[in-house]
Amino acid sequence: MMDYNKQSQKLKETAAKLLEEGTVEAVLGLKDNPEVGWPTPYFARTAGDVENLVWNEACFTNLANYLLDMRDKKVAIAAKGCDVRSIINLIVENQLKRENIVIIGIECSGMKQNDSLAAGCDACPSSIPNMYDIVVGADGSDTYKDLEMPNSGENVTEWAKNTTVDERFERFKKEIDKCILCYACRQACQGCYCKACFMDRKATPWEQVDPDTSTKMAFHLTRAMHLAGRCTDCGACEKVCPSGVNLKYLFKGLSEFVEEFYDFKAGVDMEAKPFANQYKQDDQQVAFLGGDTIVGV
Amino acid sequence: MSAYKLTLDQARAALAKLMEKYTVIAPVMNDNRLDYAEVTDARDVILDDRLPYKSPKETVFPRVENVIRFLEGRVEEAQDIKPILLIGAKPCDIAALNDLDGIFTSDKGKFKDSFYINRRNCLTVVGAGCTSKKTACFCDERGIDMTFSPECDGFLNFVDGDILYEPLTAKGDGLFTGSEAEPPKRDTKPEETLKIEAKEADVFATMPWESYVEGCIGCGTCTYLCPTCHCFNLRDAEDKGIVTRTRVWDSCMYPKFTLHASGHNPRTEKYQRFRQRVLHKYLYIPENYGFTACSGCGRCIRSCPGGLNIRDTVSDIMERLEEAKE
Ligand code: SF4
Ligand code: SF4
Ligand code: SF4
Ligand code: SF4
Repeated sequence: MMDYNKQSQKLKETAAKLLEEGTVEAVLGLKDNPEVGWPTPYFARTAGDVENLVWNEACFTNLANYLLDMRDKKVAIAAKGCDVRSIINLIVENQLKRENIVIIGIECSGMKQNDSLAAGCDACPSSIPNMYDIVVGADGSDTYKDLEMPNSGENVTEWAKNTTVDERFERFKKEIDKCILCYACRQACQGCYCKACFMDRKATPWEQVDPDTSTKMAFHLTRAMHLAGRCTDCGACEKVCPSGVNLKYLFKGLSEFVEEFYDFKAGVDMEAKPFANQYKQDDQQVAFLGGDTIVGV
Repeated sequence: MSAYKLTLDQARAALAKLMEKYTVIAPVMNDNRLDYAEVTDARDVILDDRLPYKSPKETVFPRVENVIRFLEGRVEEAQDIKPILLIGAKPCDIAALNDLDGIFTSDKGKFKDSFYINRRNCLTVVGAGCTSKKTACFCDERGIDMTFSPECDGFLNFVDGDILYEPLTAKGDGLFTGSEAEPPKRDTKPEETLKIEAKEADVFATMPWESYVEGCIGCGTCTYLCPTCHCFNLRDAEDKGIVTRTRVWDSCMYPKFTLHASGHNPRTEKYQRFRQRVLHKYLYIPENYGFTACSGCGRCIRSCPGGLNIRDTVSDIMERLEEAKE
C-alpha cells in the first residue's frame, strides 16, 4: 500500500541532502496548491525550500518537460513511472543528458484527478519507474514493492476494429467540438518540444490560426502522427486540457500500432533505437500500405 | 423599478418564449463542464452558485469574427446580428464586460471598435448572484459584490428557492414578470484592495518576475478563459477571389505574440510574457483608462497547469512596494 506521508518525508530528506551537498542546483517537484486543486510544479533551490515539496495521490503532473528549461544544469527530479518514461524518451531524442539528471524514482500505483484515476494511469505498466538513481518505495523505504496496477486501459486497436468509420469519426468529432485550440495539450506534452510547431508555421508568424473544425482536425491528427512511437502515455495532454477534451486514445492507438509492427515502445529502453530511425529490408510498410490494418482508418 | 417574484419553472417558461426573439446564452452543462453557451432547450439552463469555466466574453468578442469582405469592386462590412440575451452572468463577469466596454467603446479610450459596439448594442445582460466564493475567487479584493451587480439590464436573485427578477434598465424591463415584490436589501460593495499603485519603473525591472513563472508552460489557457483579455490579430485570407478579413484571439502568453516582421522579438522569455499579462491588467490599463482590468474570477488560477497565481503575484508586488517605501 502507498504511504504518501513516508514518501514525502523521504523525498524531503533526499532533496535536502542533494542540495546541501551541492550535487544539484535544484530539485524539481510539486508543492501544494489548494486553489488549483492539486499540487503544481515547484523548484526547490535551498535546503529550506524542501519543506514546500509534497507527495500525495494528486501528484499526477508530468514534470519531465520542465527539465528542458534547465538542460545544461544539474537537476534532481521527483519522478514517477510516467515522468521517467518521458525522461527516457527525451534522452533518446537528444534533448536531455542523462548525466545532468538525478532521478528520485517514486513508486506510484496510480494518481487521482478530481476523484477519478488520472489520465494515463489506467494503462501504466508498473509501479516501479524503469530508471532511477534514488529509490523511494511505496512505503517510503529504499525498496520497491512492485504494487498491483489498475490495468484497465482501453485497447484502442480492438475498439477501432469493432467500430465503423462513422462511429470513429463521431467520437473524434465530439471531442474536438469542445476544443478551444489553446494548445495547452501541446505545451504540456513531453514530445511537443519543437521550437516552431507545424501549427505555428501554417500561418505567417503574426497570424493566429482559426479555431474551426478543419483546423482542429489538422492540429490533433497531425500532433498524433508526430507522436507515434514517441508518446509515453503519460496523459499530460488530457490532464491539463481546460475543456475536458479526451483525445489520448489517438496517441494510445498509435503506440499500440508501433508496438505491434515495429516492436518499439517509447520511454522503456534508453538504448533502443527509435522506431522512426529503423530501417528494415522486410518492413511491411503497413503504415503506408496496410489498408484495414491501420488503426482508426 | 420594483421586482417580480416567480418560480424557477416559470422563469424557464419565460425563457423559452424569449428564445423566439433572442439568441439566449446561459450557463449549460457541456460534457461535465458548466459553460456559457447558446441555449437550445430552456430546461438545460442552470442557475445556481457555480461559475462557468469559460467567460461570456465571446458574446461580444468572438474567438473568430469576419469583419470585412473585399468583393469585386466593393467592400462589405460587419453583419446583422440577432439580439443576444445573456442570462445568469455572475457579478465578476459583468464587471469584466464593463472593462471591455471601457476599452472598446469609451470616450476615454483611444479607440472605438465598431464591431464590438455593434455586438454590444445587440446584447442584453441579466445577471445572477453568487452565494459563496469558490476556490481561487477574489472578486471581493477587486471591489466586486458577489451577490449583486447594478451594471446590467436585469438581475436574478434567488430567494427561498424562488426567483426575484429585478429589471434595472429599459432593455431589461419586462423580460420576466410575476407577482410584484420588494427588491432584496444590498450589502455595501467591498473595498478594492488588490491593485498596483506605482509607476512602471517601480515594478518592471525590480520585481522577481522569473521566480513567478517557473511553472508556466506557455499554453495560453489563462488568457483564453479570462473575461478581460482582449488581444487579437487580423488576418486576411483569399478564397475564390474574395478576401475575408478575420479577427481572431491572440495571447500574450504565446512566444510569437510580439515577434516582429524583422525577426526581432522583445519578449522571448516566459517571465517577460507573464509580466505583460499582469502589468497590462494592473498597470497599463489603469494608466490608460483609469480602471484595473481584472475581475478576480480566478479562472486563470484554477485552470493553470503550472500553478501560476495572478492574485498572489499582485499581492507579492504590493508587499514589495510597501517595503521599498519604508
Ligand atoms: S488543451 Fe484541450 S482545448 Fe486546448 S488545444 Fe488541447 S485539446 Fe484543445
Ligand atoms: S501525447 Fe499526451 S500522453 Fe502522449 S506523451 Fe504527449 S502528453 Fe503524454
Ligand atoms: S500562466 Fe498557466 S495557463 Fe497561462 S500560459 Fe502559463 S501555464 Fe498556461
Ligand atoms: S486575470 Fe484571471 S482572475 Fe483576473 S479576470 Fe482574468 S481570468 Fe479572472
